[in-house]
Amino acid sequence: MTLQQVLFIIFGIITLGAALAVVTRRNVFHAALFLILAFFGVAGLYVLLEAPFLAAAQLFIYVGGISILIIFAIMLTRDMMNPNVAGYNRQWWLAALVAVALCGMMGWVVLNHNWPATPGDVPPESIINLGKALVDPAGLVLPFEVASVLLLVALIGAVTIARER
Amino acid sequence: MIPLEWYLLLAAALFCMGLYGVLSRRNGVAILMGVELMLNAVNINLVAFWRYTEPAAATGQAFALFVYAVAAAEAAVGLALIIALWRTRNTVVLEEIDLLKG
Amino acid sequence: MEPFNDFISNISPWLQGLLEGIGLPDVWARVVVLGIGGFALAFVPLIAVIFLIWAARKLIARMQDRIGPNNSGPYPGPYALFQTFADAIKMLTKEDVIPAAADRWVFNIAPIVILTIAVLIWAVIPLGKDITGSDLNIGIFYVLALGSGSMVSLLMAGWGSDNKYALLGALRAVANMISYEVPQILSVIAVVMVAGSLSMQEITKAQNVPFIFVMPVTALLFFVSSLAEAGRQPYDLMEADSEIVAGYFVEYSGMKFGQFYLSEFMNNFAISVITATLFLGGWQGPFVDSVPILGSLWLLLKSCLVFFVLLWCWGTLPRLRIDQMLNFNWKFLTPVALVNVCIVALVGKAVPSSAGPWMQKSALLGANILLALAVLGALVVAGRQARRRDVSGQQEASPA
Repeated sequence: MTLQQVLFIIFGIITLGAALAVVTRRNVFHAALFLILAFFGVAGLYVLLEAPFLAAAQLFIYVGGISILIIFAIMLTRDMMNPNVAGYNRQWWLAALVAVALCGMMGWVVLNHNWPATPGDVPPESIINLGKALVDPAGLVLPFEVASVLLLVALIGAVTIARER
Repeated sequence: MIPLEWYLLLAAALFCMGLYGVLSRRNGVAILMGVELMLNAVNINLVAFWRYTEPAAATGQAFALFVYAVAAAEAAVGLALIIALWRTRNTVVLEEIDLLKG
Repeated sequence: MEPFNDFISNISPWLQGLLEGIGLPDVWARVVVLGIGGFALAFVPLIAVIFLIWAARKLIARMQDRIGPNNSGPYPGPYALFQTFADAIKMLTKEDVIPAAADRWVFNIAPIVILTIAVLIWAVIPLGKDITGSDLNIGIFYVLALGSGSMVSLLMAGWGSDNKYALLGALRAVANMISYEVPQILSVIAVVMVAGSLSMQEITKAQNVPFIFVMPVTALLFFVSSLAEAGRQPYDLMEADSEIVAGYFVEYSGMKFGQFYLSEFMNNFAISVITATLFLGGWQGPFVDSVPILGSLWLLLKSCLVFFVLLWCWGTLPRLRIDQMLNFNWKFLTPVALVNVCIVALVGKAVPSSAGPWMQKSALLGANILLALAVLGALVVAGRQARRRDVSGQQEASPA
C-alpha cells in the first residue's frame, strides 16, 4: 500500500460518504454542509492528480462561491422546518434502482476496457502552460471569452430574476 | 501509482449518487446539490484522463475550468429561479409547481 | 558555526536519518518528519498571537488615552505581559452554554473549522530563505482560497446559534467578505504579474525593490480589502462590540468563544504577514544570505509594522454602515482595482524588464502615481458636485 493509495482511499471515502449524506439527509442545511465536505474531498483528489491549480480553483469556486449561494438560498426559502414535508418523492426506489444500474454498467465498462494509460510526468510549469493556452489565439481563447460572456449573462440574469418587484 | 480505473470508478459512483439525488429529492435546492455532485464527478473524470494520457497538454485542465465556469453560472441562475419561485408560489417543492399540468 | 546557521534546514534530514535507522521505510519516515514539522509550524501563529493580543490591548488603550492591562500584582507579569494566559485560563474554566434549540453538531464544529483554516494559511508563508512549510507553486492562490473557505464557518456559527441576530450578522458578514474579495484578488493579480509566479517564495525573491515602492496603489488596495475581509475597524460591523454584541458568535461562551477570538487575531496577523511578504519584501534584509534564520526576524519586524498600522486604523477610525461599505467596494475599490490591473499589465509589457534594472520599476511607480492622482482628482470633482447639490437642495428647501 503506497502512500498515494492510502491517501486516495481516505479522500475517496470522504467524498463518497459526504455525497451519500448529501442525497439522503432530510435536513437540507446539513445536506449543504456535507456537500461542502464532498467538495473538499474532490479538491484533495485533484491534488493527488497533480493539478494544484484546479484544487485551489475548486476551493474558491465551489466552497467559497456556489456553496455560499446554496446556503443563502436555503436560508431564504425556509420550509424544511416543516416535519410533514417528506424528503423524497414517491419514486425514490425507482431512482435508486436506476442509479445502481447505471453505476454497475459504467463500472463494468471501466473494468473491461483496456485504457491507453501512459502516465508521463506533469511538466513543472504546467500552470504557465495553462495560462498561455487560455489566451493563445490558436488555443483556447475563444472558449475563454465565451465563458466570460456566459458568466456576465448569468450574473445579470440572476440579479434580474431574483429582484424584488 | 494509482491505476486509472480507480478514479473512473470513483467518478462513476459520485455521478450515480448525484443522479439519485436529482431523481428522488423534493426540495429544489437539494436537486441542485445533486446536479453539482454530477458536475464534480465529470470534472474528476476529465482531470484523471488528462493526467493519465497527455499530461503535457493544458487542454485537460482548461476543460475542467470551463466546466467550473458553466457550473457557477448554472448554480447562480438556478438559485435565483428558486428564490423567485419561493416569492410567488411560497413553496420550493418542485412537485407542487404544476400549473401547466394536464 | 556552519550547521548552526542553517539549523532549521538541517533538522529535517537528521530526523529522517534517525527514523530510518530505527527501521521505518523511506516514505513513512518522511511522513512522520513532515507531521512533526507541521505540528511545530502550527505553534508559530499561536504563540505569536498570544503576545500580539497583549500588544493590541496596550496600544489601543494608549490611543484611547488610557493605560490598558497593567501590573496589578505579581500574577499577569510585568506590564501584564501574560494577560492573555490569564484570559485563556478564565475562558477554559467557563461553563459551556449551548442554546436549547441549537443544532448541536453545527454549533460545535464551527469554531473548530475556523481555527483550522486560520492555521492552514501558515503552511505557505516563507519564513526565511529556504524555510517554508511547503513551497506550493500556487502559494498565494491557496491563501486566498482558504480565506474564502472560512466564510462557511461563519454561516455555520450564525445558523447553529438559532438566534435571529446571529443569523443576520453572519449573512451580513458573508456578503461583506464576498464583496471585498474582488479588489483583493485583483490587486494580488497585479503583484503576480510583476513577480511572474504564484509561489510566495518566488514573489519574495523577485523583490530586490520592495513592491510597495513599485506599486503603492496596489499595496493600499490589498491592505484595505484585507482589512474588510478580516473584519477589522473600520469594517467592524461583523462584530461591532458596542452595537450588536459580537454579531455571529453571540451565543458562544467559554473556550468556543476563545477559539473565535483567537482565530480572528490569527487572521489579522496572517494578513500582516502576507502584506509584508507581498509588498515589503518578506524575509529579505541585511545579512540574510549568511545567517538564514535572520530572515524570520526581518519578516517578524515587517509584519509587526503592518500590524501596527492595522491597530492604528482600529483605534482611530469610525465604523462604516453596511451600505456604505458595499458602496465603497463596488463603486470605488473594484473600478480602481480593475484600472490598476490594466495599467500594470500595459506598463509591464511596454517597458520590459530587459530594458534595464530600474526602468520597469520606475515606469510602474510613475503609472501608479498617475493613477492615484487621477483617482484623487475624480474624488475631488465628485465631492464638489455633491456639495453643490446639497447646498442648492438646502436653498430650495429653506424658503418653503
